Amino acid sequence: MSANATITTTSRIASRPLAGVQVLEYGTGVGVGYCGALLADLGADVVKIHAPRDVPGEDAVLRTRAETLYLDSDKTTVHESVGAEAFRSRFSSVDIVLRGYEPSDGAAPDLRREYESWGGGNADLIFVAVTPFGVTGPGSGWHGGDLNAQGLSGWTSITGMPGEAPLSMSYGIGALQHGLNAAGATVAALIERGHDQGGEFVDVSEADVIAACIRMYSLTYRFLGIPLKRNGLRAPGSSGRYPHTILPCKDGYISTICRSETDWNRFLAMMGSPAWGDDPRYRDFFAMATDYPDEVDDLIIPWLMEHTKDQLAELATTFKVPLAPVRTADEVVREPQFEHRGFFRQRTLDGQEVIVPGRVAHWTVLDAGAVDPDGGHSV
Amino acid sequence: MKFKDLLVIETGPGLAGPLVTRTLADFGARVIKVESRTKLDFGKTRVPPPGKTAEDVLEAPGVMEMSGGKRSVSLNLKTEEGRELFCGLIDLADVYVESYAPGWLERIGLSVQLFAQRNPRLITLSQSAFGADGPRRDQRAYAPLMTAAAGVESTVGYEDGRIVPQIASAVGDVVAAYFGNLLVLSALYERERTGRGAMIDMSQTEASAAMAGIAVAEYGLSGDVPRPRGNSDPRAVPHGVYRTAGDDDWVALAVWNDDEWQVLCTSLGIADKDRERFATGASRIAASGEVDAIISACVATEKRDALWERLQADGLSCTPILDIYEADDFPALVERGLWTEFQHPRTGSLRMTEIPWNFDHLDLRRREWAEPIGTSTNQILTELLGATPEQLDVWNAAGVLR
Repeated sequence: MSANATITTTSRIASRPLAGVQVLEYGTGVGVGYCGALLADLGADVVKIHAPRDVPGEDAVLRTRAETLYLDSDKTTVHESVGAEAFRSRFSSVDIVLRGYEPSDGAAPDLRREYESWGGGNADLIFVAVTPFGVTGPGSGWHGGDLNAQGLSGWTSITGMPGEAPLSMSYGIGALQHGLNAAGATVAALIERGHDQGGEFVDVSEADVIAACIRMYSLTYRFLGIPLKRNGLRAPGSSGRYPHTILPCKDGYISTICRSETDWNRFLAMMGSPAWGDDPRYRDFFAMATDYPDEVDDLIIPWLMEHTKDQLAELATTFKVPLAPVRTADEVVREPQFEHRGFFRQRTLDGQEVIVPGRVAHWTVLDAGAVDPDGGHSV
Repeated sequence: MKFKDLLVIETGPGLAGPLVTRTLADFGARVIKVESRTKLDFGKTRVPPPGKTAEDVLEAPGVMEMSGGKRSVSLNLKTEEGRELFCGLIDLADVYVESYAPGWLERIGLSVQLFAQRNPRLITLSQSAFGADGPRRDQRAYAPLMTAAAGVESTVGYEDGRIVPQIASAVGDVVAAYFGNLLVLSALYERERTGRGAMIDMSQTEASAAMAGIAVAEYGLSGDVPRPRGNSDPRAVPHGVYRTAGDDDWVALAVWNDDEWQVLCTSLGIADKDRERFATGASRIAASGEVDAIISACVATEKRDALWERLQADGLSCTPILDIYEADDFPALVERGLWTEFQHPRTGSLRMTEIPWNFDHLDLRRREWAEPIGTSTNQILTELLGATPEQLDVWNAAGVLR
């Protein structure tokens, strides 16, 4: 390869790889909303059909406003009657339809039929069904949402204290993962459409997304012979190597994992190399992890309780120890690392300015003038 | 360029980067995992559990999940010849994904900037824990640490405020992987139209923080710090998990409107006085603890599966809480093709996880087993870089191909 490209940095906001892509989003749900938000952030023109709903109570109003702020700020929101002829006509030439569904919408719609009715006038349409259980299989007609999808996936069963209720991810965290997956699948379909393929029906279910996520990890536990069930603050069996847990410190909690002997040695060095660290009992990594982790916790916690989260974060950086504070939202928005990278961005809702997470990457492009767009190579 | 025509190079441990390239491999791309016996992926250096050997660890199911469908080339990048061969592969590549700590390439005299200058159509994805710059750039981290630092873990727990981490599931890795997928695919789409390559510097912790976006927005709007909410949702009561008869059997149940409440009351035999007291969403939200207690009492002696099937038939959002072993065989997941049964030549039958995206036309599926380290070294170097048998012998003897 002989070309020498000029590298031009663009801001994370200015880079718009999906510029010119027309997207219509309708139906409710955090999953479909986040899918649309991600495509909009990457430059697509996203029109969202507004679907107002009455919610009772202050907390409910706050949640709905937070979702609107985070998911819809970069979209064009319109009020249209979905399904009307004028609606179909207006959006008949879009590249992508994102279709969400939640139990509060009523009975599950037949999205395959809906796609076919759209595709009749637009053979290149990419129709993305973003639903709790998918449009095929026994669950396709079920009622349910984020809570139910997480429960089916196996995820909920492994989070929580032993003997207490299993816990799901709240604040839409499961549904946001769903939307992230749907966005990736959408762009994959967009790439392939540019070749000999026409339109595409994309089906991404939240139950599938979360189940695939946890299953990839469960295989490691199965290999280690450690039953995967909820185990409180510590990963079951410390996932085979101590520590893999959350522990208290002076002003909250820290999370720490040591994956190698080097990690553990650094952890001990960070503590000032206590004498017990040389005891063979505290060099048997699998036994510490599975047989007596509480005993080792008791040796570490007094030292942790002498330090704040910020102090421990600094020490961890200095000693290269895998350790991080458990941050709350108010701490996250002040975190110097995020500030340095310009991660948060400002959005406005009803005149109120609020910062929310932005794009997760810095994007650098090559100067097009130095590159032959039709060039390339065969492999 | 179609997926099957793409050449993808990967260096890096763990899950996040390798899952990005596995997705491309599942789409049909040719993916080469460049690794070295001098610095193995930490997934391949676990302490073997009782009854297992280091060889078993090298072919553990977790390794298979992440490296399925890839070719393995072993190169020692600490040697000059190793670096030259690596650059030769990079020159031919469409995508390069790396997920080591920032600075590792520079320490061996390489950089993604150098790769971009040599190959202007290249798309590079660097996925480090905190990004390539900033005060935490060099901080070591694994997925649960990233979700902790990102504000995710502080939102999970019980309504009494106790935080309980998602520590067994390492959501941060998978979220980082799917963000990586989205970014690389978007860059490929843009390259189709402009011919431009891209260098993407991604922070895995920022990826996790994006998952806390609704909580952060709530904080910004209200000034109140979001705390654990158990399984509740502020817009629906009941919205939670309820224990049924059995050892550790639970259902997830939510009621989204007043009509559904009436249906639930009939199905569970809830007393008329409670049916009426909590007939409106506002009344249920105001007394959520009471409502939960009523439902808990009603379902405590019911069999889980009979209960959720009945409530589903009644049109209510009710499903079982499955443990991960039950999920393996649950028809609503199995019949969607989420798992694939493979016969591994050494370890036997194993059920592996597919990427959870379904298409009418696009062919996305696991195609092959992960190769043992270095399996394709000779073939790839010969085929792509024109290496001769004599050169391979020399490099082997010099430790270049370790």
